[in-house]
Amino acid sequence: MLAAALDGGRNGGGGEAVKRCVLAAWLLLLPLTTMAQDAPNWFRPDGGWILVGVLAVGALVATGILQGRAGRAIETRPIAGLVAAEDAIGRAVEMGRPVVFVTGTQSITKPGTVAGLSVLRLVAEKCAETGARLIVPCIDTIVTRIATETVEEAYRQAGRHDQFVPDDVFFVSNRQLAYTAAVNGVIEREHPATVFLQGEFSAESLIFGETGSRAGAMMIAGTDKETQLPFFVTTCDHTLIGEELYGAGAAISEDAQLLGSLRGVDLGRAAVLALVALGIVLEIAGVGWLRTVLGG
Amino acid sequence: MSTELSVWVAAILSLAMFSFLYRENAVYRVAEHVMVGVGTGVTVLLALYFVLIPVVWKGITAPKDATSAAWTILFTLLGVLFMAPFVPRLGWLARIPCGIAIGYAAGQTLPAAIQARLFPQALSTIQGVGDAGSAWAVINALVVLVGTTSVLVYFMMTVRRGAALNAVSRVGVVFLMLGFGAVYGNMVISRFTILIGRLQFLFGEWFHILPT
Amino acid sequence: MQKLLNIDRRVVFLGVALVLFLGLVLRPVIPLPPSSEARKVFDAVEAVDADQAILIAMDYGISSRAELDPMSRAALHHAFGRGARVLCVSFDSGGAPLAESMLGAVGLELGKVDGVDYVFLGYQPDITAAIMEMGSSIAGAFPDVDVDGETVPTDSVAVMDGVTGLADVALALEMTGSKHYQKWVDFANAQFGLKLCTGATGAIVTGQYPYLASGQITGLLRSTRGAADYETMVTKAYGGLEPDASSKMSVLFLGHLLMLAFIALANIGHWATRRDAQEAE
Repeated sequence: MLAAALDGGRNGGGGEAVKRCVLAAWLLLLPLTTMAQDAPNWFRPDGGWILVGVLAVGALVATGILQGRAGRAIETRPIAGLVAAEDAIGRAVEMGRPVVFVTGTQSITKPGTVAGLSVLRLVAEKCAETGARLIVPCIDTIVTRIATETVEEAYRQAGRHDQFVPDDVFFVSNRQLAYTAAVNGVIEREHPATVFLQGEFSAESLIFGETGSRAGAMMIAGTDKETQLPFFVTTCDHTLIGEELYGAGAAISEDAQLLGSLRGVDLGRAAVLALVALGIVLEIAGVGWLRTVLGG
Repeated sequence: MSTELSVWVAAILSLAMFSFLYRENAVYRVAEHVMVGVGTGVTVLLALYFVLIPVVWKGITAPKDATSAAWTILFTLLGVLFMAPFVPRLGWLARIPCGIAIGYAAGQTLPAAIQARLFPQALSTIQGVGDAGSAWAVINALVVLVGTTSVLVYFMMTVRRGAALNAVSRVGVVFLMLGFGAVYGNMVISRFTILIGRLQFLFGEWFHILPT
Repeated sequence: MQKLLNIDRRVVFLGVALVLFLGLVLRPVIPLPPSSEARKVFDAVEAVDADQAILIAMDYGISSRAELDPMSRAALHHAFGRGARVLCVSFDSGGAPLAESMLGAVGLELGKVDGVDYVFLGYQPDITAAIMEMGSSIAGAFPDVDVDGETVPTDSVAVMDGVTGLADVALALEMTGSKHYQKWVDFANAQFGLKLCTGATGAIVTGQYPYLASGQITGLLRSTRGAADYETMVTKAYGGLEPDASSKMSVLFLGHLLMLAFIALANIGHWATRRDAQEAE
């Protein structure tokens, strides 16, 4: 490469200046290569087409987002838990009891937590409109901060900023069992009419579900943790199953970009189905190429 | 009975937590607040001994080289921005480390999801059909295939559904419920084991009435 | 029949406590053949030669001890029984001191030497970053270790001779009650090719079966049943292990019978009530 670049430089011609620049840049960058460290490869020659996979998934999601931005109507199927949320808040107003919202027991880096905060926005807006008291105990300091902003903004938009109580959105503890015990206590003492459990949960899901049911609260749960869904399905009135939680976030916001990304994920699912179908056809035909691509 | 103070404290706190099963009460509330307090204390200590002293303090006062010290200072300052909301005018600054944390997590997750989940699981589903050597293996592979397909269809949120897709989606719900049943059964084992462990502690280590 | 649906929940709690207490006192013996997935864990450890390194990750805290401690203890006995070098780590902040204490106790019991036969690498708050670093340099992720109460550089410890990154580890056993296993699959196995077996609580074990089916996880210990199976196999082959999970299995069996009885009663009550309501209409 160096020799070719030097040769190009001697022969002159229209591209000479460009070639000299490339050479200079290359010589400048050379010392940086000594700083390079070993790292896992993105593209493995022995099979795993990870880069292709990442680009394909990215392209599908981008396609969905572009469709959304271009104004293409994207409808989401109705999610029963969301439809029930409005009635549940109305119930709280009628009973004169508060609404408790738990945004899961994970940090903000988890997609489930982000989706839970989207649902919180809807619930906070409805509570602000109807005057229901909203209590949000949090397990993470960053989530507490974002939840406070979300709820405060909802009250401000509803023109009832004076009714926003900062102390009702609070950090409890980031130890799972301590947090669980404290939320149990809040539910038992405050007797909420409705409890929303929206986000990523672990072993505490059943405890929350049981405590809420026992307190006579209407329970609307949603989580992307497949291992916790059975407990919500059995103890709660409505459950947003897995990706319905993400769908809820997009559907609530009616944001073209979010709906588009949901569309993109659906395209990804269709691609996976096509991949599996193609793989089976190739297997039956005795062609092992796709196995190699997928790392087999 | 045990004569160890730690056993007595643990036993009394266990009973206090069990009292919640009867109904919410003052003893449970005390235990609850003890747990929150101890949990917070442990968190502070862990942050101090596993992050602040070895990473931040040593990273700045005894760095490997100047570059590593500079990185430590930069990221510590970014971390400090999490506390910006304490000064209302500067609250927006907390969004910078929040954005970095979310971006880092997303960037880390996507290639791993493709490499460790999407490809191997798709391959496993395909191989299940391709490598099935017996009638039982064929049935097994077909169950996995139908389950994978129908559950993927169930979670399609933006696709308009006709009768056929609805039927496939309903099959997906059946698979989901079967999966939930399996999770529930395993969870029963889990919870019973924890309870047995507590009973062994209370009647064994505390009361010494279990056969050894 | 309506009464069946209105049984006070406290009666159910009391019934469960009584049955489990009776089980603990009477200790009925119910022989169970080892499950195939537990057998795979045993075989994977058996395939490790003496002097090769085994990494045992105890990524759990107090709430999962009842299920996972017996697995970890059996794994330590098994690894030491094989004459393997044992590297131990914990990515659970609350579990790290418990893991270190168990490693020390088992090492002492079997006459193993800290720093020579085993080492506790410690705890790191960011599991992903630590595993990525461990891929190329275990000492990079855990620069210092405590050996007999003294802090020394990880590289200088005898047990680490010839062990630089995860490629030098023959097998990893991940015990967890959380999603930590996902990180081991995603990064240690998928990126660095580390052979991996897991031990899981009942709460999360279902999510691990797809990885077992695809071969990303070599063997799996399923909650107390898996722990009991593994314990039995290790005791049979090497002896010297007090039954822990095995002693819980028969009590669990009684508890499960009671649960089935409750489910049957509730369904009979539900069915009869619905029938009465239909007849009334």
